[in-house]
Amino acid sequence: MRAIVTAAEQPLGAAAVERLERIGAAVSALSLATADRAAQAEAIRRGIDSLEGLDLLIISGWSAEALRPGPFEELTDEAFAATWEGGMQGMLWALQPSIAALRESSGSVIVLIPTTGMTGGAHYSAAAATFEGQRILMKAAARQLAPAGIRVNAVAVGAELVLDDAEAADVHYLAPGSLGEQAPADVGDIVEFLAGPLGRNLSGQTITMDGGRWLAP
Amino acid sequence: MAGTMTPRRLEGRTAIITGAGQGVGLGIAKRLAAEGANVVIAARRALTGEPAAEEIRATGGTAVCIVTDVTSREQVSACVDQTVERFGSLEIMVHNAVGGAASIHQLETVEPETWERMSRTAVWGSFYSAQLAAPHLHAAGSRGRLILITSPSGIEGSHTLPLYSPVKAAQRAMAKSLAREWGHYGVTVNCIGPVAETPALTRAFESNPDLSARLAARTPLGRIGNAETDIGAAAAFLASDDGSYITGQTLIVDGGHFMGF
Repeated sequence: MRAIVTAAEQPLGAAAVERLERIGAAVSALSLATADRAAQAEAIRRGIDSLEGLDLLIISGWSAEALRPGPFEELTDEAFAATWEGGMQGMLWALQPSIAALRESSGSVIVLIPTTGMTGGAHYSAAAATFEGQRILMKAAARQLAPAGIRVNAVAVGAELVLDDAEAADVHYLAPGSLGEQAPADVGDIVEFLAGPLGRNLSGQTITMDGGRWLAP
Repeated sequence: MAGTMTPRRLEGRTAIITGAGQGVGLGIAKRLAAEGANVVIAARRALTGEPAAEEIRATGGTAVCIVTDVTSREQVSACVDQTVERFGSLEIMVHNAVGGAASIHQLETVEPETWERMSRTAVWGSFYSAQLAAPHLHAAGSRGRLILITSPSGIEGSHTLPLYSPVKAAQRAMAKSLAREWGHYGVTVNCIGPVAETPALTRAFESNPDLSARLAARTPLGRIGNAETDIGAAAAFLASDDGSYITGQTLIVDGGHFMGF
């Protein structure tokens, strides 16, 4: 398997890289995707060239700005742009130049996000908007790319694995994870499943890895 | 048009509706005005906004047009200031404006301009509408309302308009976040996902004559919604005291086509 992983320097991306290498994949580890379309396309192109193709694209990661909690009233245009435009355009401009190679291999895409987009997060409004935007772009991509044989899915991890202050996000109404605590490395299990032959019938799905807390449809 | 039985639940309250020059926005403005609200038509063009306000005044409602580009922080700020100056308060902010004619696009080839158009109006427009109205909504306490107009495609993803999906999704997550953040004021924050007869839909029907019948056929209630009596009525309910215990929700008003919750 040939895989590109964005934001490989962050815990979830690193966990994905670690697992993929352990199961014998060739991995091109990229930094956080950027809203600079040309630069992002170039990074993806170099990754595909070095791997001589692409079977799996993992889009993960967020800027420090996205994870800084604060009241909505004080959110600046600069912070909103860094979080929202950075996150959405980063995903879009990483996905776009990967499609041709993924069509070639009937490959797949996995998006790694926290559950905060689905739950909403007080003091994380821009981040929540971005994570949900990425999750639903995943669904739109799953629909549009299915005829090309490309599957697109998401893994949503518990907010505490991502946010500095998950308490501030006001998600403590959620029942405690009855399956105990998760670690970023656990995302590797789901990545391995989704990317491999066992995941062949899944597309447009969000697998929630939070120990059984967020159970909405 | 609102009937003789239309309640007047919004007397003494003031509402801004963005993109209210036509379509869903105008339908919402007409119904809120019929229920007694002072209505501000925040339209990008006076060409549609002024006649919309005049139409409401002609039926006895209170309405003014304030030309506003929702992608401009300065213009949204000026709209809010002028509204409060004119009517003394702002209880209800409805962000309905959508950006440009959405044409079918492919993820593989879509240009940044298409993203920009979607993102600026829907998401930045929501950000500005919510943030600049915030002090007034908070002051209104349990009468404060933020309503964002979204779409079922922000929940299930759109095959033909893939970039429309994430901007509509972002509005829902923003609404949930603000519902949590502003709950202690008593302010509610919700979304409506409508399907209604609008100039945009009429144009689509004209270019694709089968579409109207197909859309009606896959809708359990068998018809396309009316912007005022169907969508406006839902907005008026959420805006009224009758909706005061509902927050963080998305109300899909589409005749039953989407049942994904």
